[in-house]
Amino acid sequence: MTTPRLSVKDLHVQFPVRSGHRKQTLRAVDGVSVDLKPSEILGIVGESGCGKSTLARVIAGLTEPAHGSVELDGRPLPPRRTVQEQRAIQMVFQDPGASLNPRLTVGAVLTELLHRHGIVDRARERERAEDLLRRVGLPARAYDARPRQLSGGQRQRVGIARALAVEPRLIVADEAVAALDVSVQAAILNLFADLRVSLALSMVFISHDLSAVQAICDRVAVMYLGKIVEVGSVDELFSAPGHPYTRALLAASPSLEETAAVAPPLTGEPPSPLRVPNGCRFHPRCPLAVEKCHIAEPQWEMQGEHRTACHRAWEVDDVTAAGARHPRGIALNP
Amino acid sequence: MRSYAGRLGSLLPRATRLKLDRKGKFGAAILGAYVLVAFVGLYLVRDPVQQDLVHRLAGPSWHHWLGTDSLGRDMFSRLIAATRTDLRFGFLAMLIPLAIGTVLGAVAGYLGGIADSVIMRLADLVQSFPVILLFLGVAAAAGTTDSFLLLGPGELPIMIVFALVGWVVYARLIRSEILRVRNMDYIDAARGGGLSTPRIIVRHILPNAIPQTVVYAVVDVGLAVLSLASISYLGLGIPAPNPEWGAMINDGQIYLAQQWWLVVAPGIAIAGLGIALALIGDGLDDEMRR
Repeated sequence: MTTPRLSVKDLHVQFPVRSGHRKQTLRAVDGVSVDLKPSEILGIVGESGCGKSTLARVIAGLTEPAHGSVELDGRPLPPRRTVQEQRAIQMVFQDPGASLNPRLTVGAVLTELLHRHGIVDRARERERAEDLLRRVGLPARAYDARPRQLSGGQRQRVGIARALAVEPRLIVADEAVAALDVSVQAAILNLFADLRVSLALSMVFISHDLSAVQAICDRVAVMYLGKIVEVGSVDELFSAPGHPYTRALLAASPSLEETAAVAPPLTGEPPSPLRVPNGCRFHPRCPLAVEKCHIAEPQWEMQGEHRTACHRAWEVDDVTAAGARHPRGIALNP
Repeated sequence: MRSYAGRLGSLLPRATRLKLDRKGKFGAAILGAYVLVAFVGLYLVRDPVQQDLVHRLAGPSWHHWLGTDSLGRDMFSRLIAATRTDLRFGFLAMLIPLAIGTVLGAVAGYLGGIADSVIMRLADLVQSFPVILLFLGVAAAAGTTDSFLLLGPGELPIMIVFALVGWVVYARLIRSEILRVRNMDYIDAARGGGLSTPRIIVRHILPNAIPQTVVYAVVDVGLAVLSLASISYLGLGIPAPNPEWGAMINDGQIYLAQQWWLVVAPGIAIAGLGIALALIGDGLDDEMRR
């Protein structure tokens, strides 16, 4: 078995929250373990506030974890990374308007990184930066442009070029297409797909958009309230989702085709990460919840490479039935 | 290898490299006239401190364009000579607090924690102190101090008070802008790219945090001149006989009913400078919002 490109092991991230005199701990990421093979694209999906972005920031070395480790090619990265370690994992941000320094030209942003890591000498820096721009589908003249002269999609391409500039071993794209128009989203997704072929790119693709994940990812991890509840290949997970939360996400995602599993849409908000429910953290919203879901945290149920943390994994038929019986489901679909 | 000047240019806030809009240009033209007068005016007029008690309080004439004051000094010459004093003082009274405030504000905003608390409590302390008392305190010293570097006779103690008090506004401005900018994604991107902390501060944070301060600094020159004029008017400013607009208004006010131009002329000079600087500041602000 090959060494995984990225291996996240039992990662916890906590933020102190002070409301009045009460000090609480917000468990943004609460024990996440996941692997990524070289030149694989792993999607991470989940609702807002489930800890996706925090996980991305920890992987990219921008936030320090409370506990657990991030390993790159089998070597654990320390919480405070060296310049070389920092360089190895690059992030693409959600809002291309906020992720580029408005005072610097595109060329200045790129060459600054090329210098820092001694990638090319000054004589060839422009040539190299223009190569990068062409690689992400921008004309070479974008070198002299400032961010405000570019469209959202073009800015995001610059953001990708910036991530590629330092020749990283892994890219973390945090909602990299969420802020873009739909047609531009497709173009950026195609760009990722192309780069993956031409550069053997390894990528963590974080999104709440299941169709985007389906389009470019090899495997998907579903996150709920700081924990991964299901991991599997895109095909397996989308055709035979094991976790009721995954089924609910699939059902809620607008699609032209019929989804394999029909489940009632979820109601209510996810619980606050300040007060994580006992047992299975999904049980308050779960149509399938039984007694032990309130008490015991579920262990992984495996079907080959496809794993689900649910006491009633893959009980697909029951879901539909239970959904119909579920009071909330009835209220929504009388 | 880029030139040193080129590198410096990229560190400058965009505001200082931008073109101004029409009203900004109008303001710049007025300011330019003031600066020109400040530099060459002194060589074109008569001695501004030469007394002529025989011709005191003379009305405007071909010989004395704005008449003479109570000691027979030519008002026009004094007005021109005062331009240099007030402009030089105004710019220094902006630059020195700007330098102090930028450093302290940047430290407070970037480091946070104890440094932030100490600097900001110091700012509160300074702001709650009645400034006029400080001026009273240094007024005695002002009469006996000589020129110091760019400062004329008697100006050093006054400038020290301006520096002690003026940095607070700049520190607060810079601090709040740094707090805003340091949370931007492009700062994370710079950190993620492995750039050094000094480089992130100098190239990514400060150029985005400073422009608002530049706008204020331009207007602040006018405010400083106005403050100097105010304290001179109270008799606490630049000591006689050196001409200064506020002191001239003070000298002339008892003759307001007969020789009103003794007050109005320096008043217009102050107002004109203030308006010019306000127009430039406004123009810069508009340009940066674009």
